[in-house]
Amino acid sequence: MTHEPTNGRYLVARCGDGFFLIEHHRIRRIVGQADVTPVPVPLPGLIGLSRFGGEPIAVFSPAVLSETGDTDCRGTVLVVEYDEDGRKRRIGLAVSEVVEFFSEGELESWRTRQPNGPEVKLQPFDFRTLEQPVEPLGDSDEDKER
Amino acid sequence: MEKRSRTWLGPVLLATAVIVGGLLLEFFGDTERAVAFGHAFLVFGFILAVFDFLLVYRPARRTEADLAELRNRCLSHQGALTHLLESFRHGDLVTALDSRQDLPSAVGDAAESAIMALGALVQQIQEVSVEVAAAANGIRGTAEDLASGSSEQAASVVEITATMEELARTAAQIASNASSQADMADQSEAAGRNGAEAIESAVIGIESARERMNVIAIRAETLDSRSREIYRILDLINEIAQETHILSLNAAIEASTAGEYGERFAVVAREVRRLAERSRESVENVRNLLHEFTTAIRSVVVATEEGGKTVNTVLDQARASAAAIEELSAALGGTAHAAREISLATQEQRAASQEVLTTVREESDVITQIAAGLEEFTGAASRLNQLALSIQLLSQSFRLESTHSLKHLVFGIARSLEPLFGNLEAMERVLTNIFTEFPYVEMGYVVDSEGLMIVYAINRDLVEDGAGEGVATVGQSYADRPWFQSVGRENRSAVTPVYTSLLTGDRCFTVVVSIEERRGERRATLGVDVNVANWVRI
Repeated sequence: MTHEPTNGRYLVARCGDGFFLIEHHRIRRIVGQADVTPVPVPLPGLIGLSRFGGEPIAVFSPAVLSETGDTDCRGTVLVVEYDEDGRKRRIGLAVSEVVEFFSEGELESWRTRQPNGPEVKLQPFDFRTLEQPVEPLGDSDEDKER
Repeated sequence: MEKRSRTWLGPVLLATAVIVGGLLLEFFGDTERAVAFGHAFLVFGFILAVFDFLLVYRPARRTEADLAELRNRCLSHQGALTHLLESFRHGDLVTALDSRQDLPSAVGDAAESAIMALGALVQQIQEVSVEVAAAANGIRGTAEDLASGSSEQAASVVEITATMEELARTAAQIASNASSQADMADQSEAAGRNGAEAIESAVIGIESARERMNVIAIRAETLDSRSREIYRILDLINEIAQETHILSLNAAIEASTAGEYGERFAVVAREVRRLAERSRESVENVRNLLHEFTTAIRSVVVATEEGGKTVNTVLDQARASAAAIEELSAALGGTAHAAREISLATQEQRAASQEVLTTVREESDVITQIAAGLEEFTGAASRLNQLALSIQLLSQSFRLESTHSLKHLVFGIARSLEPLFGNLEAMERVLTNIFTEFPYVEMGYVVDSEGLMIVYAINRDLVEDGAGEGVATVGQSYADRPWFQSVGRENRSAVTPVYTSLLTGDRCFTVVVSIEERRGERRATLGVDVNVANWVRI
């Protein structure tokens, strides 16, 4: 997995009670009122499938992936790209609200302006949480036992 | 020495003188004529002597015998008459009646008639005195009851007087109160009419307020409906702002990929995002204001609904109050009328109470006089009872062949004791048995000629057990008692005056007769104590 430069700008998005920082250069599109179709795959944080640019993308919950909550945020999907095993991979992150792009210097100022500023936790989204094996359909332990 | 009659002596002396003269002439006469006179004198003297014997001496002797016999008979009659009169003196009519047989028939018959008449009279007196005593006793009891009742009645009249006075005062107070109540009822009636008019005005005002509140409610409903439309519009604006925000963000993303040429576009996108943000903030402010507005409207609606309910309740209550005031006004009118009637009636009652009070006071005086008279009447009845008892006791001093004659009854007991003399147990049995026939007797006893008690018996139906202890004992001397001395002196019977019994504490008297072993010889004395109350009752 490789990391690209962020130029010091982040997108602040809210999922449940948590605010996540997503690097500016990974964001490809923000889709409001996106249609997400649930899929029966036991992958942690996977909400369902959506479409972007004629291709299906998997939509995940950043809160579940970062283990800060079990909230499945719906409404807006952030289409992001990251490198995995040397190739670009595109997924969707479902969030409740998209706040703004901020530079690192602006983040603290923004947080202090919030009604409960000191309690607002800004958590950078770690794309490594997406590096987990996807169990093929029908090969789960429970299926094997059956 | 009885002096005999000498009436025959004169003719004998005359005949003797004639015969002596004849003999003298016979022997000493010197003439034939003298001798013849002497013979004649002798014959005449002889004849005279014969006549004297036949016509004077013999009748004189018979007359003397007759006189002696007559005198003896007179003495006998005198003795019988004396015995009769003695019996009379002691009131023993039975013995007196027995004594009449020794009297001449005419005297005896007359004495018998007199004794029978006296006995009947005494018996009648005894019976009448008993009845008088009983009647006097009853009168006394009735008079006492009446006196007691009169006293209670007088006390009741006093209470009635006080009550009537209180009633009169209360009636005056009631009349005054009723008059005041009538005035107050009039005022209340007027106040009620004013209140009813005020309530009618209030009802009209409340109905008007209710209509206005209905209008307010309708308008509030309309405002609430409009506010919901505004909410929908705000949601739409918010949605548009959100979309605009997202579009501007995407524009910023695209601008970042455009490099140098995209920076201006990024600035525009940033301004668009700011506008979108301001729009969202404005929408939020409007939403908050609208929320406050709708909340206020809903409060107005709720308050209007509650006010409407309250107004309806108040309206119902006001109408009920109006009806109640109307009824109250009518009732107050009736109350005023009734109060005036009460006042008038109470004034009449007061006047009537005064009249009753006057009458009761007069009645109280009369009752007091009656009570005083009844007390005197009670005293008179008591005295009459005492007099009747005294008469009864006086009449009991006569012995009659009657069940009412105590002396005769006690004589009968004495006669039954005479053959038992010396057998004390038998005598005690006889004395004990008399209580069955004569339950009014407290005690019977026998004392000897020396006045010492030899036997007695106590009636335990009248005397409580132990009460006679020490009062009567064998060997006790009664020699100093007047009745003993009287009976001993006269050898007769006696009735004592009334005294208080040591056995019962009641009034009693004693009937005493002598017990004779042989007729005329006193051996002992029988005493019977009679309880007056029980005797009179029987």
